[in-house]
Parts: sequence; C-alpha cells; structure tokens
Amino acid sequence: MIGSLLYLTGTLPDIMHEVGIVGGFQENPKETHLQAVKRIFKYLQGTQNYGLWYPRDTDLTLHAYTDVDWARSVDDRKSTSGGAFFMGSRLVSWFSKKQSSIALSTAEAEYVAAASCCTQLLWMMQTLQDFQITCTPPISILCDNTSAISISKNPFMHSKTKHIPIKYHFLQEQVLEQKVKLEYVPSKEQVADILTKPLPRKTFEYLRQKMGVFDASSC
Amino acid sequence: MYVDDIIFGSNEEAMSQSFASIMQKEFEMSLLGELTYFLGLEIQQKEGGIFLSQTKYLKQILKKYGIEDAKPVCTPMVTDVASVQMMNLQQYINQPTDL
Repeated sequence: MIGSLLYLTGTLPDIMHEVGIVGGFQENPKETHLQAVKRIFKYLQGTQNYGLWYPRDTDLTLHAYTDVDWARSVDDRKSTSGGAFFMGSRLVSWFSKKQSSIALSTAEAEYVAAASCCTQLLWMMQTLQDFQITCTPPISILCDNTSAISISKNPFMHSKTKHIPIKYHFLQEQVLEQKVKLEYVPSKEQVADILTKPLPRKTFEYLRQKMGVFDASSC
Repeated sequence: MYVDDIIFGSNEEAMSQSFASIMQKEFEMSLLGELTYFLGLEIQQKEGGIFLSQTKYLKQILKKYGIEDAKPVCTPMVTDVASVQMMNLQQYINQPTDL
C-alpha cells in the first residue's frame, strides 16, 4: 500500500509528508498506522483528478522554500525538513525528510534544512547550465525563521551555534560566496510547510494550490 | 543495443520532426506521436501549459484496496498532535520497555 502511495508522490507532493510518516512504521505496523494509511487513501479518493500544473511562461527563475517541524517525533525528538524547488511558478523538485541529528532549537533545525536545500540548488544550477539556462546567483532560499537567516549570514561561531556539525556550515560558505541567499517569507506563505506537518484544511488547500497542484478541470 | 522508450521535445516543431526522421533512418522504431502517457504518468499538453497526473494509476489502486466508495476527506492526515504521538507510541505496544 505504501509503495503505491510513494509512487503517487511523483505528481502529488501534497501527500509527501504523510506518506513519509506512515512509511516510517512499516517495520512494525499497528492499527493506528493502518488507519492513517486509509485516511490518505480517502483523501486521494476526493482528489483523483489532481496533478501538477506547469503553466506556459517564460519566467524560469530558480528559487526554493525550506521549512521544518521541530522535534515532532516524540520517541527520538528529531525534526523533519521540507524543501520545495520552483522554476518560476512551477514546482520541479521537493523533499520531506527526517533530519539525521537532533536540533536544539527551531533555528538550528531550519538552518540544517536550508543547508540541504542549498546542496540541491547547487546541483540544479549545474544541470540547468548544461541546458544553457542561466540562473543568476544568489538564488533565493525562502525561510520563515529569522534566526536561521542571521546564522547563515554570520561566519563567526558563537556559543549558540558552535555545536552544529561542520557539514551544515557549508551553507554559510555558499552565502558568503553569494551562490545562495536566505530570505524571509511569512509562515502563511511558506509552501514547504505542507511537506513538514499535517495542516488544517484551509491552510492545506491554500498551500496546495500555491505548489501548483490543481484539479485537471481547472487548468 | 535495445532501447525501450525515448522521449524528445523541442520548441520547434520542425526540429522535432527532422530528429524523428534521422532516428528512424538509423534505428528500427515506431513513432507514437505527441507524449500523453509514460510509465503511469499522464501528460496533457494544453494551450496554457502542461498538466501531469497519475489519475489512471490512482483509480487502479483505490479499486485494488477497496476504497473507491469511501467518503472523501479534505486533508491527508489529522492535525492533532495527540494522534500523531499515538502512532509513535503504538510501535512499542509489544515491548513497552524499549521506549
């Protein structure tokens, strides 16, 4: 059941996070987990004609959204990262993943997520260059946490950040070299939110359309 | 060499056609025309853009798991923290000491 759901995330990024959660319980599934899987199917039942819409448009500006859900997991306290990559208004890549280390604060979790986004963006820039599509750095990474944005701009270690594994400070270097830049986006416009936590209906539907997931008849 | 499928595209209709004829000269192949279906992915090329969906595949699995007639819900997961925590905790129901 989960395998088929995973395959569907190829055109339905709106269920990505939920599929990831239930996927984590596959080894030892219980009644509640089956109920959660059934709920995803019941949601899909109502959105059978939904898919990704790529409007004809010349704007190919690359930008990314990054968000986290800090320490949601009650048993290991790890945070979930989410990232959504757009070219113009078209969603071209996305991820929803549990972080490998425990973050002490939301800022740290956001910083770690932005670093993962940054690596993906650098790869995308190279690939686009192969297609002779030029993207002018710095590429924006939109984040709703101002502290994480400040850490990315501050190349000095201080007591609150010096424990963060070195690999994530890769982000600072890229910001310094003006390859990427972190910019603020208000939480309600944060598309990547949908990839990190279950949302109430109104927010969910708003962000879903912002991602470019529409009903076939409305396109 | 054996190639199952190939997708190609261009902004120029003429370039697409000349590429197809070059390929057909070199290899034994059949041209299926405009891309509409690939590995379960449905592609609709419309006036205003391109629409990607997996409706056929989705209908198939809804049928397979007998959920075609269920009452649809608006979001894929409940939002209350308690039920997510419940899922986390239920993993340990057989060995509560592992927690």
